Amino acid sequence: MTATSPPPILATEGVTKRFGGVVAVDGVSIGIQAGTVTGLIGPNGSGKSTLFRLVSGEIPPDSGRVLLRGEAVQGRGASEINRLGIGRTFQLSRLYPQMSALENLVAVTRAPAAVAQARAMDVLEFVGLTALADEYAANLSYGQQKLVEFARVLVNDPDVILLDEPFAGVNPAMEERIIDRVHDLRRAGKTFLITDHEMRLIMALCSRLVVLDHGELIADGTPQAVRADPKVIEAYFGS
Amino acid sequence: MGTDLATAAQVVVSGLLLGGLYALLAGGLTLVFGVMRVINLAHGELLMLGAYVACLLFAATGLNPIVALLVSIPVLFVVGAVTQRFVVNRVVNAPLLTSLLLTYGLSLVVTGTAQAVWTNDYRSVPFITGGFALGEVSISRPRLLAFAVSLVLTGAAHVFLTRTRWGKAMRATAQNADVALACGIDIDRARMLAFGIASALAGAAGTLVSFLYSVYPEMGRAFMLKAFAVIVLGGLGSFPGALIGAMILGVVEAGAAYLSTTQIAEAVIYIMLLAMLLVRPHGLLGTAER
Amino acid sequence: MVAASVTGLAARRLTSGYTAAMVLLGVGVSLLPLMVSNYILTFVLQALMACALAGSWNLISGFTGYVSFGHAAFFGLGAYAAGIAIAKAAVPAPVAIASAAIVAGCAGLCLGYPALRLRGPYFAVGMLGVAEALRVGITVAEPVTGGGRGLVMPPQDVLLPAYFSMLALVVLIVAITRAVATRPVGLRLLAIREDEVAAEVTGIQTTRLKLVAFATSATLAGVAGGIYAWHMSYIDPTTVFAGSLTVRAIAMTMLGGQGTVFGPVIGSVVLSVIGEVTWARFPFLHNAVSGALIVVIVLFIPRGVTGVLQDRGVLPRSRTL
Repeated sequence: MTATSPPPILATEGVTKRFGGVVAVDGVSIGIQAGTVTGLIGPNGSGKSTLFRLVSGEIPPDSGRVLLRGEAVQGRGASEINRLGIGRTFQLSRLYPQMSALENLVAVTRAPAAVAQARAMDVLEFVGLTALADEYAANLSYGQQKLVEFARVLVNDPDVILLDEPFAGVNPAMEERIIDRVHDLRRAGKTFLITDHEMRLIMALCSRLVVLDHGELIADGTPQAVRADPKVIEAYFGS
Repeated sequence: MGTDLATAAQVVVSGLLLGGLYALLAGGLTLVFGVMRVINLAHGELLMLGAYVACLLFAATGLNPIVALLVSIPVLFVVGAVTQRFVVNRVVNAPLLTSLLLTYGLSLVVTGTAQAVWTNDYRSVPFITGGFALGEVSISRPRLLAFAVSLVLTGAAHVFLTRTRWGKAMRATAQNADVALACGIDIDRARMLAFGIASALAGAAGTLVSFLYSVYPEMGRAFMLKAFAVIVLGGLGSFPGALIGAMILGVVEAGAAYLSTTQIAEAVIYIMLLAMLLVRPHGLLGTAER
Repeated sequence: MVAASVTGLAARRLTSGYTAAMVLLGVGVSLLPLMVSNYILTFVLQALMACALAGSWNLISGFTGYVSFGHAAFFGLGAYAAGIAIAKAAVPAPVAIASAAIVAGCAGLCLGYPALRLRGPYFAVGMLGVAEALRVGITVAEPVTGGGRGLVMPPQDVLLPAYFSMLALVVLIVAITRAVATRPVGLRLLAIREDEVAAEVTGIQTTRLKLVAFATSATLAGVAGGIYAWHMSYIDPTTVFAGSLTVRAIAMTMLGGQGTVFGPVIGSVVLSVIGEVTWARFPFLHNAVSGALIVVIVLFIPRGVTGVLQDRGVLPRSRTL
């Protein structure tokens, strides 16, 4: 990285969110460069999920800003933020169960109706699910559901992709497929923010890790540096 | 200008007397919601059944409606517990809309059957009438009696919920059914008990209503909507909240009825219900959802 | 995999056969006036009206899962808009029905805008309150509406034109539903029903879609009310704002299958016939039967007849059904 690195594509500035008396996210500032894969890690309850929801617009922050390409987008609503170019998956996949895999993509695509189907099929092919296009989401295996949800995010070609525990409960073959696709997309200029508890995979995938604990940012750096950081070790293994 | 003050006092007193009855009715609705996340749209029909118990007993034996409480409370408790056990329990973990549709269907079944059996005729129970003056405020005797009984029953239910082992089991079920189950609480029975008590409270409210208003098969709808407005106002699932909400609603209704007509007062309540829903669209559950 | 799913050529044949059967039903109903008595015609007109209410309810509630317990409000508003136009301004029927559409549609927009911000269950109860408030409002506005005694229009025999108008409305509703169901917009509406948060996060403009669906639904229900007022030449608040109108629309749609094209048609045919049979003998059990049916459907066949047939492999899983 040079001294004059380009402005981050996605940034949070002092973002804070409280639930009742609990501060779930406490003044977190992170800047993420385009075309990178960043891991967001931390113990359970550290605020990762809340930060995802704040960035994707599901909930507004109590204070602080969320910037996409330098423009403040907090409080705009999830639908608009998605349209501006941030897509996310969920920890427990949230497909529309009574729709086929293909329909799940067609439902959300913003391609014109005439080509919606073709666009959806292309994306399903990209994640290797062509054969399951007509299967109902409720009948898919856990790993397949995660892949369809990933595809559903990709169908509108977002610049920033948030993956919430993409590897939880996924078999090794599927893990590999997800990792390959993330690398493909990163090379094509996409930006990723990924949470997971599977450190082996996070270390392999990410060029940078940010660590949350009790809603606060406690470390930010290369995987090697973060792994050696005493504060991180304390957060994971301390009382 | 003493008359303005007297009028205001009159409205507040009438409203509070009404509110006591609403609290009794809404207490059950909020209890069922709190324990199993079900909005029981048949709650008004339970009130209607309680009113008919009093009417029929009075017609047959001339029984005092206050004594009829000794019948309506256990009868409605059983009706509620059985309904919970065999019907509502099947949808407790389903989305809220499923149970909403189910209880809506149940309310139609009860109303329709009541129409077939008891006809659409209006009935009433001539019981104590009249009133007395307290300064410039006149107080209706039957309403005061209904208010007093309502408060006693609501208070008894509250004590049961907070002080007894079964009450605590119910509240544990309300907080987290899985944990309650793991702690050895029979959650099916806790839910049956909750629904039974809620029905008994609604039935008692109905018995009290029988000597205040006309009794007819479709009387439940308006009461259910008011009870719902009360618990939205007081916070869904909160028993003390229901008491406060009921008092507010009672005073608003009495005020609107004084300023216009009873009919418009009804409309005001419904608009208030919608307005309250809108002011706190997500905040209905007390705090913001996590 | 689904055990017995119908696929390929067989599915296409079944789908077109099913659609053809529905078209035949429509043709049969339109030829009926040549063959039967006015008594039967009046019964079929009522069934068509029920079908229009069920079909319009399905557009918002069946697709998005926003169950409206106040659908009768729009029927009632439409009936009063047309009724007042006929009684006070003596306008021709098409103008009266157009004003019904406009009033109900505008009410749908104005009420939907705030009400659709409520999550499903609160929306349902809120709409119940709205319908009651409107009924009271119409009753109170006695100088214009005639109040509780009702509104009397000059009597005229319009059975046949009313019949064909209602039939045209039903065909229009089915056509709209089919157009919606077979395009991505139908899937977007279903996505709201399946998981509204996920729909938002995937960029679906849920608020706008719900509002358009709701206003369309209200407009169509209002037209049904307008035709009813024109046909009956007498309306009163208790009849046109009756909760039972909403109840039957819900029961019919749920029976046939929510969020399907022909579900409301199937449901209204079945329930109208059952209703006609039970109505004469047990007038008050009519509502109870609808209620019992809702209970049974919720407990045992939540996806309705269409869903059951699709799960059993009798019908293909096509969105055009």
